Amino acid sequence: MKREKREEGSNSIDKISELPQDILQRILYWLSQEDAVRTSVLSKSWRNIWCTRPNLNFSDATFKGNMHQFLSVVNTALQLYCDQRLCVDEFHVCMSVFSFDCASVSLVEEWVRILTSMCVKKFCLCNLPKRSIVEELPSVVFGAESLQDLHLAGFVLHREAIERMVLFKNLTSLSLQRVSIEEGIFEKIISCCPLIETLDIKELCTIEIHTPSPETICISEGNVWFHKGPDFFRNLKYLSLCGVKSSLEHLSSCKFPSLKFLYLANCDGLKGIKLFIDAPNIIYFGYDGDFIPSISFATVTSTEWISDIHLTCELSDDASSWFIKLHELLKSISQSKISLHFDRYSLNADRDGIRENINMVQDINGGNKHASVVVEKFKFNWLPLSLISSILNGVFSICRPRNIEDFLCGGKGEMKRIERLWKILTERKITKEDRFWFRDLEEVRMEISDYNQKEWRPTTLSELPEYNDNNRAMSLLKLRDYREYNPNDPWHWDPMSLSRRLNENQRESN
Amino acid sequence: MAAETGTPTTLTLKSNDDELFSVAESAAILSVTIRNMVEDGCAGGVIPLDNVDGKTLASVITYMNGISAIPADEEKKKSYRDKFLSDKDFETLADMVLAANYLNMSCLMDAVSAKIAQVMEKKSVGWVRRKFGIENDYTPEEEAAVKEEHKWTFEGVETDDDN
Repeated sequence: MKREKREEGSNSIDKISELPQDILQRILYWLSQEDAVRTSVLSKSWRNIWCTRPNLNFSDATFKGNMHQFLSVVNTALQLYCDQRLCVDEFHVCMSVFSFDCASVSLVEEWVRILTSMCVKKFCLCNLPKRSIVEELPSVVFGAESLQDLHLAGFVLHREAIERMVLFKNLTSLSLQRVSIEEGIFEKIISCCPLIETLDIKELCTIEIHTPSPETICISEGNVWFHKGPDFFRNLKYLSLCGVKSSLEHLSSCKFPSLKFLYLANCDGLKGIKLFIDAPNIIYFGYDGDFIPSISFATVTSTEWISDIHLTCELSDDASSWFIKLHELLKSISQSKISLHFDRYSLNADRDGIRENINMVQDINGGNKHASVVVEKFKFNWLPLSLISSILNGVFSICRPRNIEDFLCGGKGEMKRIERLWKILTERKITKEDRFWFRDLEEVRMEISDYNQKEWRPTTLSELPEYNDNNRAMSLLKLRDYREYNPNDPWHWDPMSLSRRLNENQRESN
Repeated sequence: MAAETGTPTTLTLKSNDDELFSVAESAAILSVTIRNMVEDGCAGGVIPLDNVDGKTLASVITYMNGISAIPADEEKKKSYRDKFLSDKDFETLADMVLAANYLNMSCLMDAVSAKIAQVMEKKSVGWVRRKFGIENDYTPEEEAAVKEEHKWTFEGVETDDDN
């Protein structure tokens, strides 16, 4: 006897039950555990489809019962897969347990062991009770080598938990939410995930766990994707991205109202994009890389901010376009006090070709001093002696350094370099390459300080060899047409006052 | 819907009721099944798709053209999929899920199966049976036993006179 009452518009043919079982499993995949399990009551053919779908998806949000009953329901389902020798590819449990007892902790540990033996691909364990408390995570989670997707929320990760960690050679997605970790652990986790593509971090904070958006994000190596919610970066004060390969373009559409420190190093994700940073309160921007990025800033309202640019100097037969690109970058940060370092160089052409090409920069730029950017400090260690003159020419074509800094390590190479630099700056012999900027150079002085830069003393070239290792020499330049600055300020940029200010801000933000 | 490029990158697909469709190769290879045929060099003439009827294939090709015209922007693709499926009845969805499975098109498969699942969400057993025309072949005792076994899943379901 048919019990079904047919409704108008309902299907008279049971098309869904005729679908192949693997398609029905794909359909049930999208359902919560209770919705999926309930299909077992539909008809005999539906009796066991729910427990062959490749995922378990539990949440205690709608569960009527206590924690132990909930854990027991999860446990029964998992055992059912075990008994049928079926694998669970994706395991998803969300709960809001205020406090675990020992039995519950060992139950969770047992699940992880079973899932590990099933080669689980996706593991999601969230414990987000209304009253914030975090439980220690069973460390066995870090033994599941097959994981592709790991999502943890509301747990403490101790150093000991991480020690069991295997290499997650398949893990592409890691999400940590309200996870309390000790310093250095995040780096450790990331170092075990060579293929990580998606890093989704919410409320990850080592000090404050309850903040709705993080204050500090430090990521080294890997690909990053941030939650783009308008509020996500609301509280972010410190953002450091090192070795990030995925495109950072989406940061252009984000607002960083609290951001003070931004450090980007070796991020391939900056290649080929125009990054726009809306961080009105920034006080420090650091960049380190072997290419020149395109980065611009929205209006900055902080009274003073600092840019610290470290680059590999590209010396090729197209060096002039490298300098022009650098000019674009310097222009876009010209409201800040710029410190420019050529830390490394790459030499990809013969020296004559490079010299000739660099000298083209001043022609292209027309020696237009109004277009030039003031650079507080320029540093160019390790550059080949024979190219110093050309590099200076290139640099002065695109900016006006107030100080040129060099290192004294006691080697002959440094002495020669400084000698060479000093001669170029003081003798100002007009060669056939017209050094237009010589005309603007009014005064050159030399000072020296110890490594800590506590005190700068005037010195001369002939006195330099008397100094021991690890001194810094600074050539102080005075050129016409610099932007106005307060005569009461120290003549040269005081690095100590900078580091003091940075430290103060760091303390404030802590 | 034919891609009138006039270049050899147009494929001809044939449904099981002998309808012919032209489609740009770049769109058609969203189907791993078709892509494999192209890569194996079997796509020179007409590609017969024995498990898909003309009506469904027309729909799938509309989808192929629509989604491949969208550049790599997951959000836009998702909103296209939502719009594409919004007016489809279950009969059509069932045909499409079979076609997506046969053609090995994971993005369409996911979208259609999720759409079907959506209909079942938080619905009572009786409602789902009526909606899909599923005949209950349990005896009352058997049904009561299955319900008892999974008692916890009957909380928080939309009320229904059958349940």
